[in-house]
Amino acid sequence: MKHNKIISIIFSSTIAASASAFSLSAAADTYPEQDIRMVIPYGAGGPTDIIFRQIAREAEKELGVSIIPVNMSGAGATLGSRNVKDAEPDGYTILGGHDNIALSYIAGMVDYSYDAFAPVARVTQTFNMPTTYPAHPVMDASEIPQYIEDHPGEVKFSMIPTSTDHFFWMQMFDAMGIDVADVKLISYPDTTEQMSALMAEEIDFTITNAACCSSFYADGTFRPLGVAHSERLSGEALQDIKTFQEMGFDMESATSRGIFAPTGTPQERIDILADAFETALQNADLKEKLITELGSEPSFLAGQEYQDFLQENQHSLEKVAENIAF
Amino acid sequence: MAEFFTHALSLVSSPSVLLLITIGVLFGIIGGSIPGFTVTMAILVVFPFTFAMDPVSGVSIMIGVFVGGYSGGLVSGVMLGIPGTPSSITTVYDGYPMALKGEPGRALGIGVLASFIGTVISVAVLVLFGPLLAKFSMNFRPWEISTLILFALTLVAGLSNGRLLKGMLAAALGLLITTVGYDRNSNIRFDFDLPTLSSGFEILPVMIGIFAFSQLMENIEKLGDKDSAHKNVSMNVTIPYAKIVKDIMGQKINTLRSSLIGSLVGALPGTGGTVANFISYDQAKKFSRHPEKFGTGIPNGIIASEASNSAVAGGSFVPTLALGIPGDLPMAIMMGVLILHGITPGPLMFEQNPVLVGAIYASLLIGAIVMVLCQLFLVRWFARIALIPQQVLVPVVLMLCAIGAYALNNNLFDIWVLFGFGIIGYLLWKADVPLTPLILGVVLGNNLEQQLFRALELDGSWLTFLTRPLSATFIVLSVLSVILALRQNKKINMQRTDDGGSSPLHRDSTPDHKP
Repeated sequence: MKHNKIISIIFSSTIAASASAFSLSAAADTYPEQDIRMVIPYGAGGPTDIIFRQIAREAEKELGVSIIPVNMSGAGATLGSRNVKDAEPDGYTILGGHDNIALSYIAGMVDYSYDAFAPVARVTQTFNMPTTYPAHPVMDASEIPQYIEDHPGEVKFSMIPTSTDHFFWMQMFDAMGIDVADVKLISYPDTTEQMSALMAEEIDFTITNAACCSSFYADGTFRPLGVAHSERLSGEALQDIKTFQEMGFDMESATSRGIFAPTGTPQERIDILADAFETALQNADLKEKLITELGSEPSFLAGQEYQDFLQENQHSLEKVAENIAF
Repeated sequence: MAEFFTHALSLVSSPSVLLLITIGVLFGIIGGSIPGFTVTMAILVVFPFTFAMDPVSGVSIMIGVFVGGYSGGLVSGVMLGIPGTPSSITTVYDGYPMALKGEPGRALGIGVLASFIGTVISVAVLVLFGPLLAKFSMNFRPWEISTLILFALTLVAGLSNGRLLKGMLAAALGLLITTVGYDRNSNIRFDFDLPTLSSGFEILPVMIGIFAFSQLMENIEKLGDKDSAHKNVSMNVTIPYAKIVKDIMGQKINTLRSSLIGSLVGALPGTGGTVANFISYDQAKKFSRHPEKFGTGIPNGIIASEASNSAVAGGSFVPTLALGIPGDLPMAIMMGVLILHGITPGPLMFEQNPVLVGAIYASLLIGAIVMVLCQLFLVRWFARIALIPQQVLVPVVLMLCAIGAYALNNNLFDIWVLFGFGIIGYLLWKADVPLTPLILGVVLGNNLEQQLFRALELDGSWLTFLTRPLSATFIVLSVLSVILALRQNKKINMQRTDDGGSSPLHRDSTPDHKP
């Protein structure tokens, strides 16, 4: 009798164990089952917010659940990124971030970088352009070095400290042979303030991109001076802007936006997410919107390729950072 | 331009859009009336729904929320003594005492009517002077913004009512609070090595904590106080329409001046609508024949505050439409709505999308009318809040504040901020320290530091503040403001000693943390 009891216990527990093993894999098969939280570490209505919201709306259709955008701005986007870094790695919390992750690390604001996350996919690249006001004598980026020589110590460049445009300037100064000591770097908290400062002719140059400013280029309120990319941009307002390469400077710079998950998220779930975003980015309407209205090129990259890209990205940013005192 | 406006008007007057505006206004009013929820949150919640709508509908519902939200802030201020948003702080000064004296309906009614007039006047300013104002605002650079903020800070003297030293202390404390976190060059300050402090304190939980906690604790203390005059007042929760209209008619200049202040301040970069209601209240008091009555529950104070904070709505559209640069966060989100629909706000918008611009004007006006109609209906219910026993009201309000604080940035830490500053606010109140200067410091601190240092970065000389005409004007105004306030303070203090301490400003008869 006892013998039977023991056997039945072992038998039932084996069944229970295998049943739960099946249900675990069954759970993996049915991911996602609930809504996914996408943390956007920036304010609502801004370019990053809009780009991610647009793409998420398309990706939702592939996943069958909603992707809920959650704005969490603060501390230079580190509040949001930290939140996702420390979140449960179950595939239900993801981050909509960009180069800022590495930049915050390089600037010493946080102690983690891309490697604290499991990268899911790159979605867009937005190309940044030095810009000036219409009354300014400089007509394109190749004239900047000469202008600085003619006005040593007076030329004002605006930037958001430790952000992508700060690094852009340093890269550009390096490519053009400009010494930082010869110019004035004035800090502003966000793009909007830089735009009004440029309009008021308070600063000589700022970095803008088509996401914020394509209509300003079109009506002449701002003059873009060149784009740091190997090819010209598409779109009526943008195709006449010369590339840095054409002007003789070797420089590529873009804000690469991508999706990140906390480390430890199961690979199958990451793959499911990546596939959903890939399909989303193939949607013609979305592509059109991203290119013409948000000035961003859809450029999907996932898996090992994306990891390699991020490593290279951080490496080149670190090189640029050697010239910046934090 | 006129045909576009009439075309836009017909679009906005279509039943579906009118319905959307009404929903927006209702949502805005309710959102604005919950302390801590605010206009900004309400707009954020509605934002995703606009993706699926056409541009006119999307913009109309957002504007509805906007107009409703700015008017909703007065409800919690009048009924609970807690400002619903930073732009309704000065509404509490006279709104709450009037409600305590037994006339909550009258206070609410005055506020709603003043809000309506403020919105309409600001739309007129927007339409007639928008581009001109925008051009003028380009002269408003860091030097002018710094000195304007300085001017706003001198209002502290007027807000302290005889306790000038404590008022200045509070303002200094407020400024200190804003230094926590990263400064403009990414150096961290006062974070005590805690990552949670790296982004500093959000203004809203601080404000709600300081005002709400102290007010609610005072209510609870009064419960046990058998001599409280509060208990003997019969609550008139009806809306005395005739009296309200008479109140407004007697304050024509005040209403106009306050609306203009709101429109102008809303149109200027870098200051934000919060400053508008302080400046407006202060000016109303300074130009009044009996300034000592301010704070006891007179219509003047409510009108000054509500007309100006609603006028900010039209004013903040000026840089958004004319320059393509959003004046504040709700505007930035509004622009996000437009960008999502393929419309880039900016100088081109008037040429490429004149109908949409007309729709914005039309929505503002229609929104204001809808707001009054909704409030006419809702105010009857809002006034009954006065009848809810404090034992029920206090915990519920605290809970709503906590939800509002969390919803702001999905950050649990903000609730702790609410609680922590609640205790600080309570202790300060007990020590008879005026709380408004503290909030003024908190609201203005960050901006002042940014603008001041940027001005010096651009041009290393301090003299520039005096050589630039606008900047120099504000400095002169600041000095005048201090002198006038000092004189007023002296008058009030002398009156107090004359009355033997029984003046209406004495602690026991009015809520203490409003002057």
